[in-house]
Amino acid sequence: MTIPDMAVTPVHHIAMVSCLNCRSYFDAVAAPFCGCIARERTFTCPHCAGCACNASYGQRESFAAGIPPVLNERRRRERAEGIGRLQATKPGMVQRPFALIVDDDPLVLVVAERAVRAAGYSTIVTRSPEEAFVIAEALVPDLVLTDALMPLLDGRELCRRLKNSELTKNVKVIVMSALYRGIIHRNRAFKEFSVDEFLSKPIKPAVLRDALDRLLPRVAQARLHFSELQVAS
Amino acid sequence: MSAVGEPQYVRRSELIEMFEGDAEFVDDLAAQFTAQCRVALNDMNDALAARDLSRVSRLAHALKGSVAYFDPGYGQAILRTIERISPDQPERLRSLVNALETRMERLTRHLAVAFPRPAASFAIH
Repeated sequence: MTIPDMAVTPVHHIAMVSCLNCRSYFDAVAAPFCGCIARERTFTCPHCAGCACNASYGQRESFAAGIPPVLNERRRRERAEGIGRLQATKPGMVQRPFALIVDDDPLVLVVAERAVRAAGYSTIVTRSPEEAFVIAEALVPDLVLTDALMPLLDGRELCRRLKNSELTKNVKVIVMSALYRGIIHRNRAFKEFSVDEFLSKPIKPAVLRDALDRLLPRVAQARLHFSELQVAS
Repeated sequence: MSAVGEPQYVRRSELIEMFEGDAEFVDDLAAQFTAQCRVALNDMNDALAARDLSRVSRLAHALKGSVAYFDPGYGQAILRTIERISPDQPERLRSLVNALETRMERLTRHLAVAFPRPAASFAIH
């Protein structure tokens, strides 16, 4: 006699969430993940087929903080598989210009992501510098914006690794720091770590945008051209 | 001019100017900071109880970037001191963490009054 496998008996849970785009309610437990190229994909609304990948990092984290265990488990699995999925993605599939943002402080990620998106970039954010290096080698971003002092890997060292890698040597790197603010640290960052720009924290959106425009003027010109077209129409 | 000891928190209008007029974003940021601060202080106390002083230093560093937006003077200075304190001064570290808790409690109370809560972007039912 065989004992029935109780583990495979499905237990039905539902978690009704409201869609960020069309505001309709749907069951997130049953909803598939979207097809976006993201560190952590979001649920697809069955009503409008939209997802929440365009929401800010802060909004996504606030949402995740309140989800029930059944959704949290799905999110944990999605996070675990996220890096592998990104590694399997070809750089040509990413919407350009594309920026990778790295900081261990979630609030700085929120501020930086907003400013970089406003400058016309698609973004992936991560709190882990080692993960950032893997993503950068796989997707070859146009820009990496990183904090300097982080656990496990210093952002300046991340920059050096990127510049030494054949795949990422041309990626522009901006390092931000609240600690290494003096001129000596700044010069050292340029000379020893080959950073392209060094910004003091707290990051101000206007200062960051100026730095982006200096490093990647093509993106700035395209943005200007697009806004002129919008005004003309 | 302000009196000595008076809290010097950032004004909402200053942040709105910094973020180019986006008041909703600023209020959202304040709400996120309040939540993040609570978690960071709890973690700091746990690390202190476990005598993991290097973790206290790392947590202080991680919080410092956020505090810079709301309490760039005193609050950031305490965090900078905690971050750099030698691990052989646990009693001093305890006093500093207590001072930080008091300061952050006042700051989050100030934020609750001065920064209106934004409507939730997502909702779970």
